[in-house]
Amino acid sequence: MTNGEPLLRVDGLSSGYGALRVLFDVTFDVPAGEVVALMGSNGAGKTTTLKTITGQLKVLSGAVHLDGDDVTGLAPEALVRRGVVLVPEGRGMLRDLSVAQNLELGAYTVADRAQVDAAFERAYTVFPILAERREQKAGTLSGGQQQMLAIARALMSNPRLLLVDEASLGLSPVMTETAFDLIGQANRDAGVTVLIVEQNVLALDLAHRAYVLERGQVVDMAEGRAVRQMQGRLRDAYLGKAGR
Amino acid sequence: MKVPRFDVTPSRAAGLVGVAVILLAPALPGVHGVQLSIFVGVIATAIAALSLDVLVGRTGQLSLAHAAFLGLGAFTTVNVGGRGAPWPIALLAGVIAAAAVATVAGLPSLRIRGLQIAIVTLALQYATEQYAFKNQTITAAAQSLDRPNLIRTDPALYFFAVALLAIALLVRRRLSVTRAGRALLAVRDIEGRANAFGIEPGPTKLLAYSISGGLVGLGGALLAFKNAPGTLTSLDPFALMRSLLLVAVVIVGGAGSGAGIIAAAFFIDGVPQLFESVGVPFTHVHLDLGTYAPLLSAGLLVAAIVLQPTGIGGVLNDQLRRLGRRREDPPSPRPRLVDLGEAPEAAAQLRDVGRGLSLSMPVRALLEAEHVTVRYGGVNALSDLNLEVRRGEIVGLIGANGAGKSTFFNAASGFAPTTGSIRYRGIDLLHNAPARRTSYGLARTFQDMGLVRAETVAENVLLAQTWLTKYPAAAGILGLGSTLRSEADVRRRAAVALELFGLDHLAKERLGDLPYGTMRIVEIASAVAAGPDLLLLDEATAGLGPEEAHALGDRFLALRNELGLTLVVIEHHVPLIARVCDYCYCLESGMLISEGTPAQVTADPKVVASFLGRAAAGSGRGRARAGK
Repeated sequence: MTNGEPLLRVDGLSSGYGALRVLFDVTFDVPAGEVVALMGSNGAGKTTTLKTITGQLKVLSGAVHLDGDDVTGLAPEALVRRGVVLVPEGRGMLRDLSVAQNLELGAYTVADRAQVDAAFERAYTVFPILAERREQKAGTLSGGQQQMLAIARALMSNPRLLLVDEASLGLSPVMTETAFDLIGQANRDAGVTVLIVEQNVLALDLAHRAYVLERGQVVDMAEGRAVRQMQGRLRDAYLGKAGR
Repeated sequence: MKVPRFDVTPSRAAGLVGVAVILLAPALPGVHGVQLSIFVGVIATAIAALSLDVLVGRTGQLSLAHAAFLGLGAFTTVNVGGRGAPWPIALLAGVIAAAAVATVAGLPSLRIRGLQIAIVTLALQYATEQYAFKNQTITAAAQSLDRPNLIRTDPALYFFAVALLAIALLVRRRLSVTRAGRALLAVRDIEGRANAFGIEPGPTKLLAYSISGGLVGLGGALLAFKNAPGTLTSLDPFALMRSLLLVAVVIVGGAGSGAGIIAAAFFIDGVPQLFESVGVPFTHVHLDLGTYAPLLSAGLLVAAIVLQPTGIGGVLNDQLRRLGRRREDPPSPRPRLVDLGEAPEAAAQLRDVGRGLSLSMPVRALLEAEHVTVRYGGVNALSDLNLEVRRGEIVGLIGANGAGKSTFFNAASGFAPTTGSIRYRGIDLLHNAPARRTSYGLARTFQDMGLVRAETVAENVLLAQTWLTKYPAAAGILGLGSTLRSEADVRRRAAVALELFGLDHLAKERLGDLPYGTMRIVEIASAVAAGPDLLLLDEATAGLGPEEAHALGDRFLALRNELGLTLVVIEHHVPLIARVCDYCYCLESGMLISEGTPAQVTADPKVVASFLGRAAAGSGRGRARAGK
């Protein structure tokens, strides 16, 4: 890796849906080995950012660099080959396939069978419930189990960069913590770089760096210890409005 | 005095241009009898394709028998008219015959879907061609049908055809703004859940077939009159190839787009006939376009599918939308924070629904569940659950993911195989179909959205009120007074519900284009618009930030205090539970592990272990810090 060059650099990105512009000049960095949180409320443009980075939405202006290479507008499958994997909002399960088959799909780009087997081993160790239900159709899993499966599936190809869209969506508090723990664990133990998009401030517990997105623009940024202060700020802002 | 203002939107302007072109066609230079006759044929094709699109666009099913239906319409008209019946009777007979046969052809759709339906209709097309259209006693009557005096001249026939086209478009339009059209979309996209709105999928599908058949019969009758007297000899217009051409017209035109389909009919069916022989400029070569017609339509079809899967109509809509957008700023995709001061008024308007049930029935609780068990395969998703919900309460249902919370909602609303008893106002719900439960006053939301994402917010809120609009489909299409009143009523209710949830500015947005959290609130607004007494909300705050979740909590309280609703909410957002719930049940692995006030339940060590985790300690930390 080139010194000082972040793994992912998003530079002046603008995009939207048809005539509707959603992102305006969004710039942020995801340094290798870090967990970066992109915080924002409903409709701030979080999912749109991920969709634009992964080539699902047309880039109107700006660029996305991976490891210094321009990957702007590259298709999702090309990004997977470069080690970028998305855990989509709403989990994106193949409901009629079994748990094991869903995991197998996550390893689609891995040619070496031994590696795939190792990935299965790892997934089942980390998520025992998935091992228990490996033959069950994914559609019959509960919401939290599906979220687990989505994360496990994303990790199957040994990605360098994991993009997580609202892992906490529809999860109980305990399950939200588990999901965040798993993401933190993947980062610490497997060295996966993570970009996590969230509105739950608990995500900042594991973030090394964080950005706040509001109405399609980056309005705040924090790094290292300052992330804790940001967590306080966001919590206060939310609670202030909520008037608890 | 208030002067009504006609707002010239881009789509209206485009529509007016289209109408002008069609009406002025006979006056265009170089247009004479032959061309007009070709135009009439194109219009018949357009009507048939518009009819096919009622099936393709509204039910997602493909018919390969539409040319056969067209022929049945034509030959019925010929036989009735040829025996001396007045022409309107002959036309009506053609429409009714085609509608009847199409309805019968639709019966298999109650059991099968997709490709299988296409094959069944293919067989029907083949059999009709072989046995009906080759039967002399059926086709011979063409000799004796005479063109009515009214449409004897070519221009008169042309305008007659345009009038029939207008009728077809009007029927489609009426369908799309009435209960039947919305029910069809629900059956297409969320068949398993349409029952929750009081929609019965079977009859709804058959209705689509009969409407489609009636429309194509109209086109058939037109062809009968066009070819009268005595020239309806070639059976090509009713052959399988013609069915395939109709499918091509729908795909190139774009499913759901009337204008796109008419344009596609003109290009695919009309252009090759109009320009049979074209001189290549600056040469003496003449190209016989008739020969190349199949190539042309095949090329158009491939180009349409590759370049623009939504067809001509898709391009039109995109362009018009873009033009429209330039004139106004895009709306914020989030619900507005509204002042709830006017909630009592909204309440009065939304509570006014006629229900067969007496409110004064003396029961201990509004909803009582006893020994409720739901088993999937060998696994108990719910085991022997007992709970009760009293009128006017907000009851929280919490627990880990997979604990069985949504399963309980499924059991109560009729979407899970359930044993035990769930009584609502003393009536055992388990003996009632989901649609009936809706009419008793039960409404629910689904964890993964039970609405039609391809439709607008407003359409979805209307869809949820289907059980309130009881008029028959035909009355809706004819626009009888009672249906107009019923529609005005649900539209007014929809407006009130959207305003109550701060969604009015998003009414015309496509639901699927909105952020997840906003979609969820649209679903709640839809459920409330349906006028329930008991509302079951599955993870209402998923996708919402804390401040939006808080605002939603205010709405819950308003629903209870002002609208008098009883709520059961599945919720992971602990501060919200603590703030709004009167009573709380916590499930784990399908069993009840704790119940009581929110304070009691969230302090229960079992609940902390299974559901709250560190967050309990975490929020304690947060409070301590805030207190400093």
